This record gives sequence, structure tokens and C-alpha cells, in this order.
Amino acid sequence: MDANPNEDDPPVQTPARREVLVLENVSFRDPTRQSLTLRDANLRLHEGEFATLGIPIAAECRSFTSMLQGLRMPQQGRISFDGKNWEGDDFSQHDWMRSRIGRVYDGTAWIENLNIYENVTLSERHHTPRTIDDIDRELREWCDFFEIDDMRGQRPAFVGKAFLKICEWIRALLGSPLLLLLEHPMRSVPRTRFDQLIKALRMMTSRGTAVLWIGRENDLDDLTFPEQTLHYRAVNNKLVLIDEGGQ
Amino acid sequence: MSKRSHWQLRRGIGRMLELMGRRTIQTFVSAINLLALIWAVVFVAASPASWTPITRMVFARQMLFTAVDALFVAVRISAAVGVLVIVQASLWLDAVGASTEDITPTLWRAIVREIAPLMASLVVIGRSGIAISTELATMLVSGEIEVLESQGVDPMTCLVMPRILSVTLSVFCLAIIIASTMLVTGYVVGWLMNAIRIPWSAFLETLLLQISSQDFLFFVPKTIVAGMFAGAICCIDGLTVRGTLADVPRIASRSGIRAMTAVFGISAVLSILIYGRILVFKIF
Repeated sequence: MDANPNEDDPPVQTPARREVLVLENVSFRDPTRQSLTLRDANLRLHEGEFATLGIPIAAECRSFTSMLQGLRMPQQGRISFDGKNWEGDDFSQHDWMRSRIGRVYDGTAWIENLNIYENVTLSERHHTPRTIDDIDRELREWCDFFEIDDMRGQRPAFVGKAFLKICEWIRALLGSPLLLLLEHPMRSVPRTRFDQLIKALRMMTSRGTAVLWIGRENDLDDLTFPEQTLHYRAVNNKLVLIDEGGQ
Repeated sequence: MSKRSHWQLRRGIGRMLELMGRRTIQTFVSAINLLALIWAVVFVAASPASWTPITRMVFARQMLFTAVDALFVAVRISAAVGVLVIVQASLWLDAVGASTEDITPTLWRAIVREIAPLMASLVVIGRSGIAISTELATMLVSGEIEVLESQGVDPMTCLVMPRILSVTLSVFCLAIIIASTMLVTGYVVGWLMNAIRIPWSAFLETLLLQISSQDFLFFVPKTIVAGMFAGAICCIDGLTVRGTLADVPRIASRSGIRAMTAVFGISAVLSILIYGRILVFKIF
């Protein structure tokens, strides 16, 4: 039995951490795509947590991530973001919830008839009362951080994939979202950029942002993530926590 | 007739009725969807919260493309039609011994009440309506709509409402320009060909004397209602595409035809409602 130095003192309770993303007994299958399929899967992501999710090589994750954002409904189970689920028809509330999620996409990521700058600032300009100068200032900071040129006036169809992917990172990071969903964020980007991205993600997690990095199992094995990272794998249609990040 | 033939006949009639019924229900559902979309557009547009910087930007760009860029096309076409209508009318009047003043009221009414709204609708559908349905269908098929939704941006607020609204306003504005151009070019060419022999001031005075409140009763609904339906049809067709990018051109051409049919239909229905008669037969 553990000795308690002062038995009269009430036990010290650590404040409950805010749950950002919760999947409870979720079953999901998208018959139109080779999507990640889940059956009674569970996942819990708290504020400030960094998690990776390794998916099979043949699976694509776009439908799954869209389901996490409430754009597709699971066949069974419950998904909640910041304590609220995606059910019901309060679409304004759902739009507001989605505006607090930054995402890097697997596949189409840009509105082609807008330029990159308009794409990147779209959500901030639509949802927040921030001034354009304020958004531009944050944008410049991220451009400097990732050492990329100005993106103004350039259309997504006419720039390189690596530059476009980094612009996607910036779009996801802009406005300090509560959750980051990163689908294959290193695809098309040189490995030398990995440390920059990790550094940016650590800055975000220190501010309370939860990060879910989704990638192919073998791709994730090749990367070195921070020590506290939670590692999930999709195994037999379940999400299995294989490494609790040194806890 | 044998029992079997009877049975086959009954079966054939049954199938035909089933097909007609299904078609009727489909048409009814499409009309309801269209009206629901138009109602939603009015509802969303009336809310100040919808007019975020992004919505304003999309609206301004669509106005630029649909109205401003279409200006020269509309002027070119209306100038040609104006010459045809006015010069032909004057020449025919000469043949029957009537004066230009006699035909001016009829011309004014024909242009303002029927030709200009119809031409404006056709110019907008041909130039922008088909482009809108192509653009929306491509965005849907390629996953761009999903990108928008995943950022919490409602496509109804940011894509559909500004487009339908700008198509409606463009039809109204272009119809005014078309009517003016038709009258001016018609007069100029008619005067040069010696088909119109009264001075411009007299021609203008005769026209101005013809303006009545009934003209607005025709002009405003015919441009606004037709424009709204044309925009809504193009948007709804673009956003209900199923399949791949290869299906987009088929959808676009179909939506152009549907929008034009709707414009002609609406124009005819409004004429019947406002005049209260079909051709020479009174209906009220």
C-alpha cells in the first residue's frame, strides 16, 4: 500500500482536459472509394495532444477525415468535436465548428477559380471579424516561418506541388484552430521541410491545438515524431493505440 | 381479339400511364425544388450575416462577368435586332401608307415588354448561365465543394446565392441597355436609310409619351422572375451532377436548354397573366 504523507488533505485533482475529438463505437464505410473502413472504432483526442494515425497502404483517408468534420455520417456511432456532435440541422453551428478545424487534404484542396491567397484566407475572412491587415500579418509570419515567397496573385493550377502543399499547411494553421487534421501532409514536400512542420505543430499544441496526422503506416514509420506523440493504427477496422507517447 | 391481346394492350396502356405519371411527378418535384431554391436564395440574401467579404467578392466578380463583360455582346446583338425591327416596321408602314408616329407605340411596347427582357435573358443564359452550371458541376465532381464545406463555408451562401442574384440583376440591367440600344440604333439606321423621316427629338418625344406604368408591370417581372429562374436552373443543374468530369458538358448544355425553355415559358405565362388573354381570347 502506498504511503500517504498527509491523509487529511483531499486528493489533488488534475483538471479534466478538454476533449477535442471523440469517436465512440464508430462504424464507417464509403462504398464509392477505397476508403478507410471502421467498425466500432474509438478514439479520443484532447487539447494539446499530437497523434498519428497509420492507415493501410491501399486505403485513402479523405472520406474518413470528412466524416470527422461531419460532412459524411458514420453508419453507426458518435463523433463529437469540442463536446458537440454533428447531428441535427443547426447548420450554422456546424459551419462554425468546421471553421475551427484546420485541414490538409488528400487530393483536391483548392478552389481553382480563386488565387492561392484568397484560398488560404477564405475561412478567416468568412468566419471571423478580423481585419484583412491582421490576417495578412499572421500570413506573413507563417510565410517567413516556412521560408516561402509571397503567394498573392498566383493561381493553384500554376505553381509547384511542394509550394502548394506548404500553402496548405499555412491555411490549416492560420487563425489558431482547435483541431488540425493533416492528411499525408508531407506528400510532395521535401523531407528537409519535416522539422519545420513539426516545429510549427509543437507551437500549435502548446497553445492547445490537437493534431491528428494521418498517413500511410510505412510513411509514418520513416518519420521521427516528438516523444509525446500518440500513435494509432487502423488494424482490423479498429483504431488501436500502439504507442502512448512515453506516458 | 384474344385474351392475350387484351392483356398485352392493357399492359401497354398501363406502362404508358406509369411513364406519364412518373414524368409528371419528376417535373413536379423539379419545380418544387426550384421554387425552394429561389425562396432559400431570397432568405439568405436578406440576411446581413450572409454578406461576408467572401460572398461580396464572389457577387462582385459574378456581376462583372455576367453584366459588365456582357455589355458589348448585348449592345452588338440589340443594335442588329433594333435595325431589323424598326427599319422593317417603317418600311412596311410606308408600304401601307401609315406614318412613323403611328407605329412608335407598338414598337415601344414590343421592345420594352417582350423583346428586350427576352433578349437579355438569352444573352445571360448563353454567356453566363451555361458557364455557371459548368463551373458548379466541375467544382462538385472534383471535390472543390467539399473543400469549401470542410472550411465551414456554406456553398449556398458563397456560391449559389451570389450567382443567382447577379444573374437576376444582370438580366434586369442588360434589358434596359438592350431596349435603349435597339431604339437608338433603329432610329439612326432608319433615318440614314430614309425609312424614318422625323427628327430624333420628335422620335424621342413620341417614345416618352408612350411610357406608362403598365410597361414597368411587364418589364420588372419579366426580367427579375425570368432571370431568377434562369440562374436557379443553372445552379441546381450544376450541383446535381452525378458521375465524373465527362458528364459536365452534357449537364451544361441541358441546363442551358432548360433555362431558355423556362424563360420563354415564364415570359408567355406573365404575358397571359398581365394581359389577361391568350392571343385574342380574354381569359379573365
